Order: sequence, then structure tokens, then C-alpha cells
Amino acid sequence: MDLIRQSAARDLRVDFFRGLALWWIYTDHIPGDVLADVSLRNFAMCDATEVFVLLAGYGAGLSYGMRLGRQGYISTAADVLKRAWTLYIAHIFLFMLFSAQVTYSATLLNRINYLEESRLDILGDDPYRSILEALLLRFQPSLLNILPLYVALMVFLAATIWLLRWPRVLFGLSFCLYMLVRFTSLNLTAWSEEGWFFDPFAWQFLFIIGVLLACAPPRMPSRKSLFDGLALITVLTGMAVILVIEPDPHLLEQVTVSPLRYLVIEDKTGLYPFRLLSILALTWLCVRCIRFDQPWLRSRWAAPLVLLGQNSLPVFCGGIVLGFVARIGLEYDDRALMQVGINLFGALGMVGLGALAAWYRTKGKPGGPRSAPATSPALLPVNVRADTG
Amino acid sequence: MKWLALSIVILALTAQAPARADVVSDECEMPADLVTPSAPLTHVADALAGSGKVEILAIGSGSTVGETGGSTGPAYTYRTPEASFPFRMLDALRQMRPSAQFNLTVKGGRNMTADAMYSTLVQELAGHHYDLLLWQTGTVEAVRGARPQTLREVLEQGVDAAAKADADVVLIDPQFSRFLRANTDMNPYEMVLEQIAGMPNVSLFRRFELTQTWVSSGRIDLERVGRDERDKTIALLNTCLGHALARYVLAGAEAH
Repeated sequence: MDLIRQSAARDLRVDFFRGLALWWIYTDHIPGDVLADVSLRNFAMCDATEVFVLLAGYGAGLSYGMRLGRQGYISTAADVLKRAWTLYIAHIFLFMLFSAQVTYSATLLNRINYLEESRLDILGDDPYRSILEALLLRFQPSLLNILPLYVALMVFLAATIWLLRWPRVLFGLSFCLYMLVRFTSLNLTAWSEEGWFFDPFAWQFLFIIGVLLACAPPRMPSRKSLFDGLALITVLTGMAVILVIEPDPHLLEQVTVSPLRYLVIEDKTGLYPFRLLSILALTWLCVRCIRFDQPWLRSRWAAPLVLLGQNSLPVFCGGIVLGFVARIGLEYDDRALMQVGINLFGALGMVGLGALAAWYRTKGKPGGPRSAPATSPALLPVNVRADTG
Repeated sequence: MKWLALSIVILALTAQAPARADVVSDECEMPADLVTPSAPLTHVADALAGSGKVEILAIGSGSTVGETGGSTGPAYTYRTPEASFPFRMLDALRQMRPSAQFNLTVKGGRNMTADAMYSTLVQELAGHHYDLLLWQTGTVEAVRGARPQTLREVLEQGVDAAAKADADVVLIDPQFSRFLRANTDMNPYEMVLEQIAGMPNVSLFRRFELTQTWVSSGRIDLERVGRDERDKTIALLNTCLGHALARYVLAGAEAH
């Protein structure tokens, strides 16, 4: 039985990078994991979150964009909301699991700092209210703020998917909303006064870009080299900021008025424009450098990450729980053997979860690759089977 | 910050005496540039040269006020300000300058952003003269993903208020922890603090860098210390930070 969904038209680059983003989310959130020092955020002015959201939008665009023509708006929007509901339920379950795991560990190991760091201390301060606020997604402990964003983005998509008939209008509206956030700090309110950690009104822009890349991909521009140059400059500038300026912020003191300041002072909450530009530049370079039909994407070496990417929801949730166990392991001993151990543990656990989810999806169905629709001449292939991973 | 807060709790529970100052020189490595302010503390210097009486206001979140909280209700919520690093600094200042009189007022609270502290700060500055304002902030903002621009604006306002009240300002950045480094994006907030520290009569006590030095050397590493050694390490961290801050303040006064 083939656990990996693939066809001649399926863009495994998307699955591969989605899987890589999930792996980075795992390593990046474990304090002291040596692999966190070599993840995307160490070299670019964006991190796994941007990759995850862009590709989530792309996946949603593939899944629901084509249905719009067949099923109409109401039915498609209902499907999108159903998916949002699945994500919501997964989030609430993860909230319970993570809360139990962290609070029990904190008291057992005499590490009250776990509670404050994960913001679960609020659960003890005001238990009745916090349950309600968690259900309303207004109480988001650390690490549990990506799925609420995903839920909000799917609801946003349900409300705006009819605009896919006019992609430029959707893009324009999405951009205006993003700019509104940049100028007004518009955000959904959270329980503890400040807004959501990931402002959905800002991040929807990246998500919608992903949707549009799938549903209404722009033609490749004729002057590709110009875009190559711009993308390269963006990525290299980001690298310079990360590798030169941030380790030695005193450099900024030498220049009182500097455009560099605007590159450095960035906020993740409101998707700072340079973060957005960085992920778009990286996407462009990936599309240009990695061909759709690269054989290595179908090799056994790429298979684990492709599998993760195709089963992102259970893998993401599992990664959070496994990551906390790994953290405790590293606090016990952070030498080489344990470093290898916790990363193997995470890799095997996440791939195992991905394989299990894939097995459940495929069991009872006839094997073999699905029939392959024609490939698209567009930037990214569009005639791909719906992705609900 | 949370580690400091926790230290206060455990200190109170075990009624241990805080680590002695003479331990500090052995255990806490203090690179000279981290205990020397970038700008002289002129108001502190004037107070020492004049009346010999220095009024200090420390405002900050959990680690400053000595508050920590837990998930199991009030039994795990502690308030033991006497063990927090500003009080350890006070002890060190009195040891280093026995002839001078240092008074300390501590304000703020757990999980407070700089924005939330601002009204208290203005009220305090209006009601009492302080020669030195210690403003510890940035951690709560980073954990919550607050806008760096908001932090910058409120710090600017607070610094202006302190300038009008003839007080030097020492900003104190977050304490190093692997968790913070892994799970929050600290750079924007550190940059804001750096920029504000460029204003007149403002300097930055680089707690992040200093505590990272101690973690790197393995001497004070709360995230790796065994359960049995934890209480002692927390007490040492408080004392070392207080001692470093005292040296920083006096170096700033002497530079004038």
C-alpha cells in the first residue's frame, strides 16, 4: 500500500516544504535543540510559520478552488467551514492534552517556570473563565497559537471564496486589509487585553496569496531574471540582517537614520512587510530552482517529509506534544547522545503519525497511483487532487 | 525573569539565607562592558555627591516585584519581593557604599507590559523624587508578541517623564533562557531597548547577555540544573544579578 499520495500532476514540492516546515516547527520550539540553529529562521527573515501559512493557503486553494465551479459558493463555503471545524476540534483537543502535559510536568518536576512560559499560569489564576476563553480562541497558550490562526483563516476563506471568480479583486481586498493592519494594528481581541499572537487580519494576506497561487496562478513573467535578481537581493538582505546586524545590534548605533532599522524592527504578529517579502522571495527562488518534476522529490529520501506534509494536522499536533517531552529530555541531559535521541524521537514519532493517518485514509481503497490529470502550464500546477492533509 | 521569580518563592519557603556577596566574585563572571553603562548616571552621581541619599524606583514584571504564579491556584502564587534582584542590588549597594543611603521602591507586577506599567510610573514620578529609575521590561511583550512599536512609544514617554523628574533611567532587558530564545522572537524588542538606550540619560543593563554568559559557562544554568541544586542556583542568580546591577549603577555615577 502506498502511503504517499502522488500522481503525475501532484506538486510534491508543496508537500515536501510543508513537511519541512512541520519539522522546523518541532525543532525550533525545543529550547536547546541544536537542530534549531540550522532551521530557516537562522538564515532568513521569516520562519516555518510563513511557510506553513502560505502552503496551507495553497492546499486550501487546491481543495476548494476547483469545487467552487462544480458545487457553487454555498456548498464550497460549507466544506471550508467543515474543515475549519475539524481544525478547531483538533485545537481544543491539543489544548487539553498540552495543558495536562505541561501542568503535570511542572508540578512533578518542580518547574513552575513551565507554566508562565507557556502562559498556562492563567489557567490556575482563573480556571473557570480560562476554559471559556480557550473555547472562544481568546486564550492561546504559547505554541498553541498557530491552529487558532488556521481556523480563523479558513473562516475568512469561507467568507471570501466567492471572490475567487475575480482573483484580482480578492487580492486587492486582501492587500487592503493587510495594509489596514499595518496602519491601525487591527487585530482580534484576546483575553489578556492584547490581540492574537498571529494577527489573522494580517496573515490572511499570505494565506490568500497561497490560495491564489493554486487557483489563479499568474503567468510566469517574461523578464524572469529581473525577478530572480530582486528575490536574491531580498533573501541576501535578510541574511545580512540575521547574520550581521542582529548578533551585533550596536552596529545600528553608528547610523542614526538607516533603512536597516526598518528591516530589523519587525513584528511577527502583524506579519512585518519584510517577513512577507522574504517568504515570497524564497518561494520564487524555490519555484525557479526546483523543477516540478525533480526525481528526488519522489525518492525515498524525500518521502518522510512528503509524508509529513500530506498529513499536516495530526503531525503538527503530535509534534507539539512530542516536542515538550523532548524538552524535558534535554533539560535532563543535553549532550550529543540526547540531542540525537530527541531528534530521532521526534522524527520517528511524527513520521509514524503521518504514516498512521495516511494508512487510515487509504485502507480499504484500491491501491496504485491515481489517474493523472493534465499538467498546468501555469506557475504551479493546478489540476491536483484536493489536499486535506 | 520567571526563574528569578521562582527563586523568590523557594527562598521564602526554605528560609535560606541569600548567597553571600563574597560568593559572587567567585561564581559570577561579570565582563566589564556589561557592568558599565554607556552613559553616566548624572542624577545618581549628584545625589551621592550631595546629600548622599539615593532614591531608586524599580518597576518591572515578575522578576522585579518577586511574583510568580502556578497552575494550581493561589497555593502556587507567591509574592516575596525581598528576594528579587532589585533588593539584592540594594544589599550590594549598601555594602559597596556604606556611607551613602539607598532607598528602594518596587512597582509593577507579574505579566505586566511596559504599557501597563506606564500609569504607575507617571504617578510615582509625580508623587516622589527619584534619582534613578530601573525599568525592567520586554519579556512579557516578547512572549505575547506585542508590537515593538508600542513598546518603543511607551518607553519614550516614560523616559521623557523621568527626564522631567530629574531621574536617570536604566532599562533592564529580559533574562536569558533557552525557552525565550526558542519560542519568542526577541530581536525586535531588544532592538527597541537598544534604541531607547541611545537617548540622553538612558542606558541599558544587558541582563540577557550577562545571564547568557553565566549559562554558557555552566555556572548558573537554571534550565539544566538538577532538582536538588536548583534552590541554591536560583539564590545565586538573584545575588549575582543584584551585585552586577549595583556595580553598574556605581560605575555610572563615577563616570560623571
